[in-house]
Amino acid sequence: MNWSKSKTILIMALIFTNIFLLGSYISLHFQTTGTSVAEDTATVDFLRRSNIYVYDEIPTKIFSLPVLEVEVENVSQDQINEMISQFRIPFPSEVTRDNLLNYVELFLNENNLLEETAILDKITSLGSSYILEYRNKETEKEMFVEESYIICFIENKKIKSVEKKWIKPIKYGSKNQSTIPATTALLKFMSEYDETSAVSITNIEMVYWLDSSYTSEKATSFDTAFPAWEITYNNEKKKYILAY
Amino acid sequence: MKNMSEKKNKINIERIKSTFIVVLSVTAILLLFLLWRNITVDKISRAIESINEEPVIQLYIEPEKLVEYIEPYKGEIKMNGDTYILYDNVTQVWDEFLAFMRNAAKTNGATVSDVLAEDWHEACLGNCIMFTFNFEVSAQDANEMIYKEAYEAFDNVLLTNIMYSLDEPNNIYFFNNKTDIYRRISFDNSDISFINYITSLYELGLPKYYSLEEFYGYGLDSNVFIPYAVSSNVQSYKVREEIEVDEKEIINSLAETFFGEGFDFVRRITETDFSVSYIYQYGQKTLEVSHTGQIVYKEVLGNNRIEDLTSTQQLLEVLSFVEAHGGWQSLKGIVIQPYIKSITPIEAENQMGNRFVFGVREDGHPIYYSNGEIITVDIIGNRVIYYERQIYEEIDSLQYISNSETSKVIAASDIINSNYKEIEKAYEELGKPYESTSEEEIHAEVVKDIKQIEIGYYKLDEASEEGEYLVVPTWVIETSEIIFFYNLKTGRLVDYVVKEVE
Repeated sequence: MNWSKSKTILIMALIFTNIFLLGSYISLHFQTTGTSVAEDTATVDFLRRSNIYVYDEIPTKIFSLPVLEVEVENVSQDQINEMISQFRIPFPSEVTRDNLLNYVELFLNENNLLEETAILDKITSLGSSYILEYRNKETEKEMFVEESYIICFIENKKIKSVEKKWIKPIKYGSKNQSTIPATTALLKFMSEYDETSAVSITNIEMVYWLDSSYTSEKATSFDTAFPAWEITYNNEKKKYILAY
Repeated sequence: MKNMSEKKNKINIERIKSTFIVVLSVTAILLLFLLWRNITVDKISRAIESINEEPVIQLYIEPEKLVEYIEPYKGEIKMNGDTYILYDNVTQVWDEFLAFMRNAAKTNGATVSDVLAEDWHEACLGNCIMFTFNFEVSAQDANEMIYKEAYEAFDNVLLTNIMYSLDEPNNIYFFNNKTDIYRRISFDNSDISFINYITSLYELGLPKYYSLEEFYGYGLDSNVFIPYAVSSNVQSYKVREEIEVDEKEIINSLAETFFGEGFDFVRRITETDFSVSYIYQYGQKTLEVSHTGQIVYKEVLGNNRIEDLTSTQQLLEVLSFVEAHGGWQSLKGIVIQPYIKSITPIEAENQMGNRFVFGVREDGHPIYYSNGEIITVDIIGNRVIYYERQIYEEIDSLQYISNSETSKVIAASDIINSNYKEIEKAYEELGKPYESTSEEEIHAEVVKDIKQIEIGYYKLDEASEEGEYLVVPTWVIETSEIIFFYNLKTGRLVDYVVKEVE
């Protein structure tokens, strides 16, 4: 037996095997973790034929996310009304964005209503009325927690009312699961949308969503929020599509 | 010299080749490992998810185990005009009879035929033994599942009662109270071992029971028998819920059995009273653990594939389901003595199925709760769609908690004599007052209305500060509309429960 020749053949075989394995590994590991532009374009065209128009860029990323354990804060509206009636700080003489914000946050802080993860989303003014809306953005994954908000209504130079619905993130689940792509969420939205009028989608983003359709006679303390695609359409209407 | 150098070069080349082979082999193994890990983490977890979408009940219980559940609730022996009722000791007699009946049914020439009600009643007049089941049993189905054998004589034998006349040793009678059909297996068998067994029991001395007619003489045609006197060791004991809402680890491990690998992606809701709910997807499966320790699991049938099963096969699935989800003991492992209380047909999502209700015995006597059943399982085909479980585990047996609680037991007849007015009052409160006005007539009406009397335990509703409940031994007096529980030792009314209309 020619050992030298055998070794050469074995080396060649091993080189080919390693090239094959490396190729497979690279193709598996670095394969695209999202949808392609072609897929997005096809989805937009398909939706357009169903009278649904997408005016936002469709996210291509497929996420891998755990669930989020949350604490549901049950704030009594009567208590908030009482806090408003006790609030004595005068309305700023000059109405600027910063002054409005200071005024509202003084009230919220004084009554422990402002949360760490609350971020100002927008200020809307209608004559002498102002609406300040806060959203809930958790810090670890920097995703919004929905539907969770603080909305302050200012009218005639004083706080008229405050609506607070707060969901406090506690901890993430231990396992991740891939989410559906935004294109699939849009198609699900289309299948669930049963009106004939045209739909203009202005935003689509991944959020953590607590489905409030579950109703219980008892108040809830802790709950589980799931990754969901939030689709904003027709003047700020929102639709959530679970992303698992 | 040149040869030496060439040889040395050749050896070096071979060494390099060998090293190269080792390096390439190690690299190949490493790449294989990386590739395998990449595939397993992602692809296998997805495969598990897809399996979870169609959960299948694994059979945790062997079919042979069915023999422990398919057994009569009570036995009745009639010998020389006397009657003996077997409750807690029926199993032993049934086992003997079952062996005898199977031997008889498999003999050559054993035949089954329809008979008239009169034939049954006539055979009942002499010495006989009768077994009563709480549910309909298919003799062939049970025989095939437990013993893997089929006998022609068991074909189409569906029964709720079995009667064997010692005077007609070659016939076994069956009655089905759901369909009012009487059948009889006739066989040519000279085996008298069972007759000898019953005779020896009789000679050993069984506590004699008397019919209500013998006690009161109202001209009743009653099948209700009560003992004249009972010397019983039954005594009160304390229980607590098998699970408390703050035992999160136990609750989570139980919940995991329902949702499997997908448990990490199940919605978990904790209410302010600490009740916990688990919801899978859009309510496809839900599990609720209430603050009172009650566990309720529900599953939507949807488009899931259903396999047609006989009620005996369903019983096996149900037993397996319970075994896999909490088990046939308390969650902390305290053994219970379950029995089938009823099997009734149900309809859900336009499909027919069965509801299996299980009770629990303590020292052979059934335990009653005012707030529902111990284990209830609804099954359609091979899929369990509802599972309710409320088990209390014994923590303390109270040895003679007071002087009044001794081994002395008040006779059932005395209970009726002292409390018939209370029974009448309960009917009045129910809006169904008796028509009689005189005391004697009311007494007669109460006695005539009694359907069953037996000893049973009753769990009181009120918990102590430590969350413990008292379970007291009672006379369970079942009338047509209401079940009354009278303390066995004091004779006082403990509670009464209005029967559900079927």
